[in-house]
Amino acid sequence: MFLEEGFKEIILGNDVPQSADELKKLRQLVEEYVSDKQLIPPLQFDEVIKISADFIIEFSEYKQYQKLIAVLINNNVWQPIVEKIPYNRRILLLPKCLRHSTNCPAKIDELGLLCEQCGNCMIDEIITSAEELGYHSIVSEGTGAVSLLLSSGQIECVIGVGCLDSFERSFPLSVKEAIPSVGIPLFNSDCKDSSVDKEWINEMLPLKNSSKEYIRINLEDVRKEVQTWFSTENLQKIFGVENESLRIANKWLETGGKRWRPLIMASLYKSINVNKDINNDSLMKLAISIECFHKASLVHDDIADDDSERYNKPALHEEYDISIALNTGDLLVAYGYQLISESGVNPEQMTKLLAVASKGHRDLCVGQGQELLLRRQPNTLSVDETIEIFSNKTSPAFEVALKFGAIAANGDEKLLEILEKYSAALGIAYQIQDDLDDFNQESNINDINALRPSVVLAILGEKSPKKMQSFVKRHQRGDISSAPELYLWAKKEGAITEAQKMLLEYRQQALNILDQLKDPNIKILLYRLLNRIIVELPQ
Amino acid sequence: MQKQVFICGCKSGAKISKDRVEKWKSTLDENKIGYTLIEDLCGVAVKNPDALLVFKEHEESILLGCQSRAMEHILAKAGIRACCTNIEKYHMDNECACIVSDWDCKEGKKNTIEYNDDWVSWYPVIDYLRCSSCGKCKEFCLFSVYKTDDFGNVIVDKPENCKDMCPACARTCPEQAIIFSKFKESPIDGGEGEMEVQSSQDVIAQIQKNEDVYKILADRRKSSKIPLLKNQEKLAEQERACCSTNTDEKVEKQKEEIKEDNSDCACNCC
Repeated sequence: MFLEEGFKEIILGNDVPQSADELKKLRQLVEEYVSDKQLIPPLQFDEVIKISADFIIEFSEYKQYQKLIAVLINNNVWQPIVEKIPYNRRILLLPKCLRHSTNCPAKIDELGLLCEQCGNCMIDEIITSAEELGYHSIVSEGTGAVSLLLSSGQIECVIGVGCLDSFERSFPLSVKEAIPSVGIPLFNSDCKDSSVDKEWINEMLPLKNSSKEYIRINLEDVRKEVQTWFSTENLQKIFGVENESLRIANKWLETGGKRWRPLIMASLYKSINVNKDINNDSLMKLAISIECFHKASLVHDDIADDDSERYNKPALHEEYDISIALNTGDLLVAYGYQLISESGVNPEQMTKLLAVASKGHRDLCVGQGQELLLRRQPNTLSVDETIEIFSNKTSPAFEVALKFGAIAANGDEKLLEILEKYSAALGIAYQIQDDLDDFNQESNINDINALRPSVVLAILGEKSPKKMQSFVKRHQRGDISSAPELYLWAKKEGAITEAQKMLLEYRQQALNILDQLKDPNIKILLYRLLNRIIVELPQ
Repeated sequence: MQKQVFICGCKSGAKISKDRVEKWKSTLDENKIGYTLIEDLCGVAVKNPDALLVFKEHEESILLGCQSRAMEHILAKAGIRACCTNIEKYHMDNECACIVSDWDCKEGKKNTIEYNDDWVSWYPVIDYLRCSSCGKCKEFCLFSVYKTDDFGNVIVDKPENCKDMCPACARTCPEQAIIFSKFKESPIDGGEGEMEVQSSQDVIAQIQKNEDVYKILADRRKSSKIPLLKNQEKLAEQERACCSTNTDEKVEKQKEEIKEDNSDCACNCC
């Protein structure tokens, strides 16, 4: 991960104080230091390291403990959230090296040690007190199983015991999934007969705060709920089935797609509206309206791009004809506005929703227009122009979905502003990712379209305009051999690597914008959504 | 063709007990068989691999040590491959000393290849007949023991970085290609056979299938061998304490009841 790369250049103090008292002193010092900073989790890796560096400047005698201090800072930021999570959703992770290295009788399964409570080490005692509270516990061997668990996207809270090395390794994962977590370091890192401050664990485990102001949105549940909104019956109920045009539009709305937009909208709505009444009807209608706009644009796009397939089936204009497809697209736009008007929000919200929807529409058409006009001239786009098209074409999709969620849940202006910037960066990152997918899949190589806006192609075009020109001409002549050559050229020239770097930069930009958020529920959700939408590239 | 005998002393480990080594040495002496004692094959292979080139001086050799697959790959690491010299390998724990009478061996001279390093020579070797170079071990290891060479093969680059007694990377290997010769269990020690997975074999597969992680963990706990929680254990301890003291009348009464219920109570309390 890019953050780690930067990190490796700096060598941080890697020690742990060797007595519980010293450790406690340092913990208290860090707690005081962090308390007035009003830090909102999750913090990014670089942020934690920076704060730990600031701490060292003030307390230079603790220089050799910098990594530990970073862990403690992160602990402090998460702890208030951890306390609000029920015990039975918390997972205690212990390292196998706590066991007695020669006398341990326990067997090992895929996740780790199956403690037999022989009493030769402290594992038994720790997991027993944790399990009595309701915790799930795992005594893991190394970080493999832990990584798998953390990346499952289901883990809601982790209390992890381990060496600083293992924390360093799992930190990026827990940030990506924004998992509330507390790390308790081992005194040593020899991976054998380790020991840990038991008092600290005993202090940590029972912490509890029954306030309900934190909730972790179960994205899988929201996804299931969203699916029910697009059932045949529900769509028929809302839009009617009295004539064939309605039936075609309903069918098109019902089939295919990942329902990203409704999911984003509904999950944000729920994370803002924690513990408030949720108007399910209103939420459902607005979520469907976004999907209506989206599906309308797809029908029209497929005609404009002459794509004959969508969701592995004939595109709408292939199934019927272009005129019917155009008309269905228009009908879906009407559906969208109809649902906004029926959503039952107050007049102020209504005004905002209409402004957001129409602006999204406008941006999308401008972006699409830029792309279509480009086909009339043989020049390739510069990187900046490409990014501008991406920004117009893709960002509105996220922006409308997020802002709809925020407006419906009565989010404030500041939030809308943050969402706008977040969507802009996210949309560009998403489109670059899409671009790279096309280049990375062998099967797609023959389909590389030298006329489509693409960051990879733009980078090549800027490097060697003439060579690019000749590719464009060959492509226009219908020379199929140009595509694989273009692919090899892009690889050799480092254009793919450069595009990957840009993707990470925009991803980072989206994350940085979230630093302004004060509500951990929203910040956590937007971290998690980003992680799902921008899938990290294999290194 | 007379064979040269080598014997590993497992000096820095306990895979083969020192007694066992001594017993084999005296058996060889009794049969007037000359041999070379390699004090610690694992250690020498890393710290002084050139000393093992002596294997190449003999067309046929016999090597007494631990698992033959382990020794084969330790030797390969030191540059002694099965293709260049013929080495019969025997496990000192599994063979009967009587086999030496069948051997046609060189007589006389004894040699020692010393190993005097403090390092316990605990490290992995890779069985390249199994390894698929997937890199999981490299990914898993926190201490940069592994690296990928210029040809894309995963190699054990820094054996000294390996942490004593930790065989964890071997468990993550999908091909079971990693050998820790000094580990107590097969097949990680180089023995044949399947990796022993005790229970909930498909936990990882279940998690990958996106099943409810919390339910998977709860089921795993339930199927664990030790269902007793501490509070139950405490209860049991209290009951036992009650049984062995005569102070409480209630307990006396209970004891009476127990007596009546079960006259041959096994807990010695009656």
